[in-house]
Amino acid sequence: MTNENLATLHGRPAAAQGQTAAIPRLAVRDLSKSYGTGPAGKEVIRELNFEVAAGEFVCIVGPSGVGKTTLLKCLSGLLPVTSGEALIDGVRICEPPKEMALVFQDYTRSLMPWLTVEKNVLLPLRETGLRRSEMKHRLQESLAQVGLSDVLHKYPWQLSGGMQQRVAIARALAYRPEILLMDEPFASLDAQTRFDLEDLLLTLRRELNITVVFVTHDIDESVYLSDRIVVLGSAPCRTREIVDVPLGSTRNQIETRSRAEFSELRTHILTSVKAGALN
Amino acid sequence: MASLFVEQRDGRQALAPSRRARERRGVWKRARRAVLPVLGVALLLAAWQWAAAGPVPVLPLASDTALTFLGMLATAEFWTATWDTLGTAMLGFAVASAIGIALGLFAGLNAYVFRASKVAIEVAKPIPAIVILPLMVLQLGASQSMVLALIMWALIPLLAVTTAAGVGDVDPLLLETAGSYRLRHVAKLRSVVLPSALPFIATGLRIGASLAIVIAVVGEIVGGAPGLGRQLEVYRQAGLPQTVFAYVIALGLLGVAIYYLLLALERRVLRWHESYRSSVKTGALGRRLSAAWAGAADRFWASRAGIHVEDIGVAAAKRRTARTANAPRKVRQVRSSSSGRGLVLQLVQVGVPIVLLVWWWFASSTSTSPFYPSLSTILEHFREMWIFDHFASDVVPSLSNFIGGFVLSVVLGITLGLVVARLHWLDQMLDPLITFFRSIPAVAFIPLLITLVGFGPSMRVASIVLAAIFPVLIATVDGVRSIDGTLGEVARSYRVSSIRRLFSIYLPAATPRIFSGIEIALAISLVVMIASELIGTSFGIGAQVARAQTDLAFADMWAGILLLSLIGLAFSIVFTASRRTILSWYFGARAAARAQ
Ligand SMILES: Nc1ncnc2c1ncn2[C@@H]1O[C@H](COP(=O)(O)OP(=O)(O)O)[C@@H](O)[C@H]1O
Ligand SMILES: [Mg+2]
Repeated sequence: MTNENLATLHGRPAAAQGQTAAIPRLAVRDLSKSYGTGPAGKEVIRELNFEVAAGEFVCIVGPSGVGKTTLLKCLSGLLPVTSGEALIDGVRICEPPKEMALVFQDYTRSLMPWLTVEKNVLLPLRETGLRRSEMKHRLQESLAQVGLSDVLHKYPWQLSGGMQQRVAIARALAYRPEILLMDEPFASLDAQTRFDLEDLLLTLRRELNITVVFVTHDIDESVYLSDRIVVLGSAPCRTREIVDVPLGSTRNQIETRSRAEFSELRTHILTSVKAGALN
Repeated sequence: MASLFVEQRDGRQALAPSRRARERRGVWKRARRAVLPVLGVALLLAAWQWAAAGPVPVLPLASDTALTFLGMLATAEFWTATWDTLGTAMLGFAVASAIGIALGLFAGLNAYVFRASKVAIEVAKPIPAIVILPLMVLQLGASQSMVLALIMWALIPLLAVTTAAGVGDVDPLLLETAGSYRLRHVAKLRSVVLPSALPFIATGLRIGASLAIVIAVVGEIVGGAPGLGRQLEVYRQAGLPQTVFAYVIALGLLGVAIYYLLLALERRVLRWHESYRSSVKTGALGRRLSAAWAGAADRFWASRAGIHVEDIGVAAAKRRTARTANAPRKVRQVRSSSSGRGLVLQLVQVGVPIVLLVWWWFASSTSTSPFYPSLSTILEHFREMWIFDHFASDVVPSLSNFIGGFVLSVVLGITLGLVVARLHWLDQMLDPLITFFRSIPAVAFIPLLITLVGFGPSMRVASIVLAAIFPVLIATVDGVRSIDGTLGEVARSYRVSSIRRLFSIYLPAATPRIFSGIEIALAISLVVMIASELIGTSFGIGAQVARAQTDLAFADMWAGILLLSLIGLAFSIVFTASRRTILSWYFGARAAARAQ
């Protein structure tokens, strides 16, 4: 299957992108979120604002415990917001939207231990009414993309942590989402696998024209991957800064990371995150 | 300043309406929690009254039964019977606990004793006390001592095994520390071994206490010993259904009272213990807790030896992970299994049961006692009776009632459990009813159903279902509720349909617990099957044993006991094997988690 085909399959041909510029693909408007109510309630997010354009790669960085996971769960419709709203194409998100897939942070707990890798990846596809052959094709393709073609009939607990996370990523890829939300997906991987998967993600995103919202606490990673970085700071969490990352559309682990702009951005964001954590 | 002002105002505006809505929801929630359980009970009573007045005339009116129940509370006869039941149970419990704990400490501290008793206990585990009841009735009559003997049979192994498991779980580091301070045996036992094993012993005691009551009631209903159970059977024979119902209600209420009493006691005693502190949320007496702590009585039948009791396993696993320095234990295990001592231990484990069997064969070969015929005679009768004469006429109907009742209670229990687990209001509504019904000793359903539908196979199957459905139902609800939140979120985020979510996620996630429930249901089904045949019928294995008992045909009786034991054993082997296969993912995942 060619890249063009894939993009069409994705339902959003590149030409349509221009029209939607007015309405952002994803928008977060004055979003607040508290766990619990009354005096026992805990305010985690307060009046957060940012937008993500179609095809954009946005990283969300912030110290751990600031509310990144909570934000992603609100964005994906898993948690109700307390006030404000999250919008997809201008429509309020109340239920998990169908063009979205979420890769969870807690990889050991996001795969069904009673299903083999194959069945785990196929589980979301069974709802889509795809033909069996197409499902098989996507299964093999996505597992090959994350370099796990040979574990089809293994159970998740027979795999290492990094492999489990790659299965979770393969599950999201096989689903072919238009918008991919990822919650610190590479945090538990070794450096080499991590670089490979970062590059894979960039390639896929370019080929399939996916919109990606990527949560991480690794600042280097955020600079390397994204078009824009949303820096979150202090609890309750608020937008501290939104930084553009003008590093071009093709990146390279060695060359990009050694550029001067890279280290400038890195220093800038690190300072911002640190200051935010102190407030 | 200006911006701050705006921010506050906006914030208040945005928050105000939703907060009010949430408070309203909170009030509504609390009201529901108070009203629904009452509504559930009221609905059941109304349905009962309606059914008795109209379509089911054999059912006594709920209002009549309530009056009879109140009247019964005013009779001395009721309180004497209650005292007989409670007194016998408590006496048996006290003696059996003392013996069982002593044996358990002994076996736990001595590897040879542990191995020597292992096979015997594994074999005896699935053989319920009711199997030896006819023998005890013959020897001791319909007396208190007969009930005491049954309680001993059930409780001593239970307490011995839980205690031994507790001793085995003592941190070897603590023992070595004690050794380094030159603590002597008794001091070591008192200050290190006993406190560490206490949660296990407490669990065994809690299960044992409820079990003692259940067995007492079995001895009274089936064996005719004085107590609440015998009253039940007497009034059943006298044809007074309201009184039968009133006694069953009394038994259920007694069970509920004992359950909460034991729970409170255990909490008090074990408040200090780490595994206890982390595993019990104080203050919440909800079903989750009660299921984790299990209707003690049911659990027993499942695993007389108590090793499989979930909370023991959980407690042990928690403590094991809490323990950082568990290296010495591993080293010790490796050494003992590879060295000469390990070989000797294995020989002991296999050899002792064989020696016992051989000894039984020869020691009994010259027996002239009518009570204890020789093993060869028993085997001869076994072959003649069960394999030739009575196979089609007795074994087949017994087994089909047993399997039918068991399968029905598993299917119904899982289905109902899934529904209840997914519908919160239904759960709240049924909660008191479930707690009540499962506190009724299993065998007490038999006289009740005899008054309603007579002695046919439908009574037997229905009794089994009534008694065995609750452990499955509760385990299912508990299993579905215990599902990891992330898995549910994964399913939701991919918009997996609710039907598929039920069968691909909630049901599989619940299977480990469901299997614990099924294990209990299996044991209860066997007990109720035997009891329903001992109480009265002309065919079935139990009926043949009862006939042998009245005819004083001892060898036949022994042959019957042997057959019932073998059935218990066979089903427990089949069950264990199917659990191994179906739950292979669960055991694999657990082993993987432990290896980390
Ligand atoms: N279900 C919950 N109930 C109450 N508080 C929660 C819940 N989930 C997360 N929190 C709290 O919200 C804050 C943000 O958590 P999280 O979104 O997981 O942060 P991050 O992903 O940035 O590490 C933390 O302080 C955490 O304790
Ligand atoms: Mg997080």
